[in-house]
Amino acid sequence: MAEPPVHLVGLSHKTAPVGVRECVAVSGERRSLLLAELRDEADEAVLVSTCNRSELYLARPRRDPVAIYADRLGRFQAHLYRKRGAAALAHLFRVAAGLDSQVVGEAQILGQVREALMAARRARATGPLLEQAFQRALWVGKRARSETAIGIGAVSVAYAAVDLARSVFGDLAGRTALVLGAGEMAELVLTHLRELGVSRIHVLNRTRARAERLAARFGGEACGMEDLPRALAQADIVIASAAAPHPVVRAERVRRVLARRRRPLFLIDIGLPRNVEPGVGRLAGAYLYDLDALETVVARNLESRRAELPRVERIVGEGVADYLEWYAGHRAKDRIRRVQEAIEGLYREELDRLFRGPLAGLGPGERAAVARRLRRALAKAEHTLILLAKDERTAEGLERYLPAR
Amino acid sequence: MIPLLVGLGVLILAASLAFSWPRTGFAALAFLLALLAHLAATRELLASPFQTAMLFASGLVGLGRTYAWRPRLGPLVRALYAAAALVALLGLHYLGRVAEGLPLWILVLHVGSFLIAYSALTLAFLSALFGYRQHLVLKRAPWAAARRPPLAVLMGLEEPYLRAGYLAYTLGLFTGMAWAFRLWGAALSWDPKEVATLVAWGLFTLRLLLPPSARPGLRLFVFALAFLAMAVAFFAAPLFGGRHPV
Repeated sequence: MAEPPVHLVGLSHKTAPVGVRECVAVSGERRSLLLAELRDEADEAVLVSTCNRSELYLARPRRDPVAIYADRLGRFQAHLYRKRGAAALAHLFRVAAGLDSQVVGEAQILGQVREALMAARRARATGPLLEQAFQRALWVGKRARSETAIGIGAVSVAYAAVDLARSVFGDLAGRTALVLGAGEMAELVLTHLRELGVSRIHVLNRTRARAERLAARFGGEACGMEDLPRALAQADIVIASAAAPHPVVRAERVRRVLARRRRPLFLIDIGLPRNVEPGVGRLAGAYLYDLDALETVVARNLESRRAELPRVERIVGEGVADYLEWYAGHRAKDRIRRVQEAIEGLYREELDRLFRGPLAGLGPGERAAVARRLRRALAKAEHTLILLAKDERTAEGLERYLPAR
Repeated sequence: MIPLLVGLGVLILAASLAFSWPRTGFAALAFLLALLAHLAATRELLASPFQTAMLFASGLVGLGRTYAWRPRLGPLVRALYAAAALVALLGLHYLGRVAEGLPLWILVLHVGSFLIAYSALTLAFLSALFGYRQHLVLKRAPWAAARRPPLAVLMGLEEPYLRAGYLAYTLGLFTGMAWAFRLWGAALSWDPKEVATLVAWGLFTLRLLLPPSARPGLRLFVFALAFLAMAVAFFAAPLFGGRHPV
């Protein structure tokens, strides 16, 4: 059976440096214009363009897809990959499942694939082949994430810290965070914690002005280092990133805090040298994680995502098989439609020739009788041709004689 | 008929454990119907450990259903269902054991208190067990912690249920002692059920008195001993005879 006439040309983080990727990345109005132009180049077109990839999917292109890509997006042939048929579909499904992403299993790509399809629909650049391909890609992406653990576990240090906080507290709404120092990573973690509902924030810094700036940004309270015991007693989450030459949070102090309460204390130490005495981690109610621990969590999460690859590949394979089944039916329907159109054209052409030539003198009643006879004769021929069009063994031969689309 | 109803309830719980079948309310219903059938046959309310076991199992299913809508508490809910199935199956052993002619008020107060205590303490103990597991995971393998019930949530279940269960257990114990004193002139004896209940109560008291800074392993150990003593008092002690009616 002939493969679906779907072509893919593109480049990604695997084949091109960021400098090249940013040259070919398109979005918004420019993508709409480009898709409108591509309607002249192929029956259907969808452009997936993110910071990591710019891939052009074409159905029945009218010229070499690489040339189309080069003319429309940029001449970076050395970085391009080209696939067609089932290979192009498998690539799209792998992209949607997050297998081709820089961080395996990342969820953002699914939204970007959906956005690419929507943009193509708005530009009226899709048709049955790519519409089906992209809808199935979205389905494969969703299946991969719901049936496997490909998207489970944080893969950045900041998110790993937040995930751990959630493993300790569950819901973070109403929790109190204490920030020691005002480093970039602390800010990032704080941003995520704030999004998840952490309501009270205390910022402690040697320089009061910096503490006030950070506190103002997150709606928190700035304190001096002398307030550490009070703030520590109130805190559920401590993010330590102070530039101090010695530990700021001592095990003895944390032990005293924990002795007076039942709820746990979660500490992230991202300061170098470390801000929290390692002995804190050995206290019963304290859960202390330094940068090494967080990086280990990220590495283990990535490892467990990679362990899911064979299962996701199976889902991708099923997606491609489903598409090819659909395409087989779609092709047969398409051939039948073309047979019917060809017969209808032949009928009108012959009728017109007869009534303008040898049968020009016939009255309306006789003309109707001739038209009926001719229709009946052609219907018999059409039936045989439809049977041939349905049969995969004869369909390919038949296609050669059908008029082009 | 009664074993069939119990078997049906257990099967429903097994289906829920194996296939996440959500209709566990039918299991509680089957246990309650078994209780009613037993009541109709014996004409004695709460005078058999079987009836208590059915109410206990229904209570555990009810508690499980209370938390079943929170996916992260899934393991705890499944453990409650498994415990309910086990209680129901063990209860079958006491199908023929019925105490006759006991005053209803003492049965309702004494057995009712213990029923509340059993259910609350089982949930508290399972929360403690999962909490300790999560504590170990957070300390030793934090990457695996995200897939388990959150620690503070489990602690938030353990403490209030432990306190409520302890109060009910104390009430059950003292009503039993008052009853025994009126009946036999002595609040306590070397009856296996009384001794096991008193030991369990003492261990629950010890667990409650442990300071928050005590090692989690020690807290769980004391709780586990108390829970074991409670289980012995309910399921095993009646097998050794004694003055306790059932």
